[in-house]
Amino acid sequence: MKKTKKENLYNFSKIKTLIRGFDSIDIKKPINSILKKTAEALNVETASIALIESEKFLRFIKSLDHKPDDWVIGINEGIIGQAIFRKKSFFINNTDQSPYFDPEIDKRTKTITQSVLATPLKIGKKIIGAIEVINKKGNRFTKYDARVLDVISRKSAYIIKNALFLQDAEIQKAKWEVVFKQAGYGKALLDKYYQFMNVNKSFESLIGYKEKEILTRFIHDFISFRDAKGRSLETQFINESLKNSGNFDGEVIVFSKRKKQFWAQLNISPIEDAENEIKYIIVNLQDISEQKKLIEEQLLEMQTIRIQERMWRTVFNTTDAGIVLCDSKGIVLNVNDNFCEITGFKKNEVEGIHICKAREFLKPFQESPICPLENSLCPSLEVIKKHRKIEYKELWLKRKKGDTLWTQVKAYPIFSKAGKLIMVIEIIRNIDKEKKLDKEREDFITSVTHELRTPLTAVRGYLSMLLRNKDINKNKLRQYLSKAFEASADINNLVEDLLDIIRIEDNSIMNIKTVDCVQIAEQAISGLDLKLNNKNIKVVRDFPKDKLFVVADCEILKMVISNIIDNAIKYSKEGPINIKITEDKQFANIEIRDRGIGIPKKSLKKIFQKYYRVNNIPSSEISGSGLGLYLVRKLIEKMDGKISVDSRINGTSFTVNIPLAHQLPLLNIK
Amino acid sequence: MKKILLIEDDLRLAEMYKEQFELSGLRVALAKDSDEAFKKISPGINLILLDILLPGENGFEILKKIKNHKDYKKIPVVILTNLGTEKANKDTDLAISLGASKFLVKAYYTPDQIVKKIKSMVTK
Repeated sequence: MKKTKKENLYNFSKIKTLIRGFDSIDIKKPINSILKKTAEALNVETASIALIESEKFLRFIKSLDHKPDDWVIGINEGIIGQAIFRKKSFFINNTDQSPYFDPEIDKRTKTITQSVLATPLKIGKKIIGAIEVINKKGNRFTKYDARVLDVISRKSAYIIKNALFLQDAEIQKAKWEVVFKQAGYGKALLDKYYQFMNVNKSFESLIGYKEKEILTRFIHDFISFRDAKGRSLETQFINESLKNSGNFDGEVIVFSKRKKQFWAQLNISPIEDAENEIKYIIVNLQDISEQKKLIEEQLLEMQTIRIQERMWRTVFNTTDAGIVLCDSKGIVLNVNDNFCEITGFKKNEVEGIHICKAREFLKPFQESPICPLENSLCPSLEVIKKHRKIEYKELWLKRKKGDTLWTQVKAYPIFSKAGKLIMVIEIIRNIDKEKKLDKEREDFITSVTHELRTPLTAVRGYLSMLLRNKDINKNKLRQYLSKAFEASADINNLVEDLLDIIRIEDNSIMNIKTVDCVQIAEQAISGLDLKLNNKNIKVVRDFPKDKLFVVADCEILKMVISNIIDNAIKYSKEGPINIKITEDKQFANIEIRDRGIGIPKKSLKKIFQKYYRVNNIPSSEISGSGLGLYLVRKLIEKMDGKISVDSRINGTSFTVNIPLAHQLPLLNIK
Repeated sequence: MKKILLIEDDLRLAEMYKEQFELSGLRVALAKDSDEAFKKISPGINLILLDILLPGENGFEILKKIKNHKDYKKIPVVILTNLGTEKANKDTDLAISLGASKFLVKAYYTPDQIVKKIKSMVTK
């Protein structure tokens, strides 16, 4: 018996050897071998293995007899079913007497079954199926046979399980191969130590290495990963990630030693065994540089748009021009701050209403509104009608208050890509100041021309009279010559004044420093002593006892004061002239008051303009070009001072304000 | 004898023209502004010479008044000024539209030339 047992076990060890080298996808081959060796070991006619298909069925995988493969029976049917039901070996030696044996089976399998021994296939406590042997040759099944089969079944269960696993793995592998090879992205299989086991073509081209160069080598020898924040992704970090969330998935920058860095979508997932230990690692790598570039470009574009938007806003709100945007129907969408300043309207008064009601343009020197009654002069409406730029060099803009401003207006259409008018932008430039300056300049030239022509006419007139009158007497001759001479002196004075104006506007004559204005006033008065004595006019002083320091050009200030006193002498028939010097917080105030004929109220505002002479005196009585007070004002303003005038029937008073010297250190404190 | 009213604020010029006119046999009344002009004007005046830049009312305002006055509106008015040019401009247009017969710039002519022009108008 012992020998037999040894013999049997020896035979079985051969099965193990056989199975160990087995790696076929077909599970039937190892099972067939098991069955053959088992039949030999137990000296039976035939043997079969069935595996549990589900809770209700068993499936015969392989039989040595004529049982068809894949034959399905009830889970507790037959002797084999009893073994599963009883969870241990079960045998009968006389089928006729057993209620568990179905004779129909013999008919179907064309065999005669005498004795049957079946044993469950167990892995641990779990039953996966059963093995049965039939017709013990020349003998009966004994408990010994049952024990042998038990041993065989235990070993076989593992072999079958492994075979099943392999079969499953083969299927998985086939599937994997398809995915692996044909994947449109890089795929690599690594072992748990991150050593390459397999890579596909895409992976090769992504990292720039051939599979054969990197097999069994550590992945980080060839490529490294960094996340978006620039952190290096070491295997340890990835491992933790795999443990925590089952996989790693993220956008990374891949650095390959042979290839430039590129953005990739990296997915690392593990393949685990039954005990949840990582066996293999699958690396999926997809180049997303293009997408990234696209996204970055879009981001950049958005940023550019945002910057442009900010630039446009800044320009819109800080430009000197008034801007109004309206839609294709003329409804005001937006106006800038300067529009409000120019027109006097508030934003909420004009936004949302028709452009014609938002501002009103008049033809210069014309009082009736042009818009909306005469649409032809509403620039934005013209653009809407004509679909082209409209420009007006000079229009009057009627302000909310009712007054008018000189403006220059341009209106532009804004079209959609499809060429449809979507918006009109109207730009209103306030040219009032320029126009007024132009007017001043024009008036100046007119005045200068007029004032030059008048003495010139006299000079030419009298000289022509001399020339024509051959028999002129001595008295007439003298009279004509002296008139011509006086007139030429007027021309000379005018030219001198004009030169002064040019010099002042050139700004080259100022020498500003701290000076005593009381002393300067005294000097100015003494310079006019002769004129004062001639007209017998006295000067009454009201000066501070101490010096009063101002910031000014000494010579210019003297000239200004003496010019005003000179005027006072000219327009006074008798004295006195009062000169008073006081001070306030900022200024020294020099007031010069005469008892002259006064200046009409309507002329007061104009007397400091270039070339204005108060028209209440026949001009040849008092000589002067009319530039004097304009010059005075310009000079005082250059010294940061001011001049004002007050006139009544019994005289005129001019007040000059010059900055006090003590203001200087205050200004310099930082 | 034909009589002229010269409205001119520059005494030197006024006297010069007066002398020249009188030498040619025309009588001249002088007025330095609007007030004096309307004191001296009469339907018997044959022509008025009118400056533009005058103290108080200017020449255009005086011209308007004369041309609106039933007794004086037929008196020809010649503008005699040193403003601008004789070529068509804002001032000449205004003067003509207000009824002036001529627009003369003083500086363009000697006194005797002026006198010739005026005399021919008066003696027509």
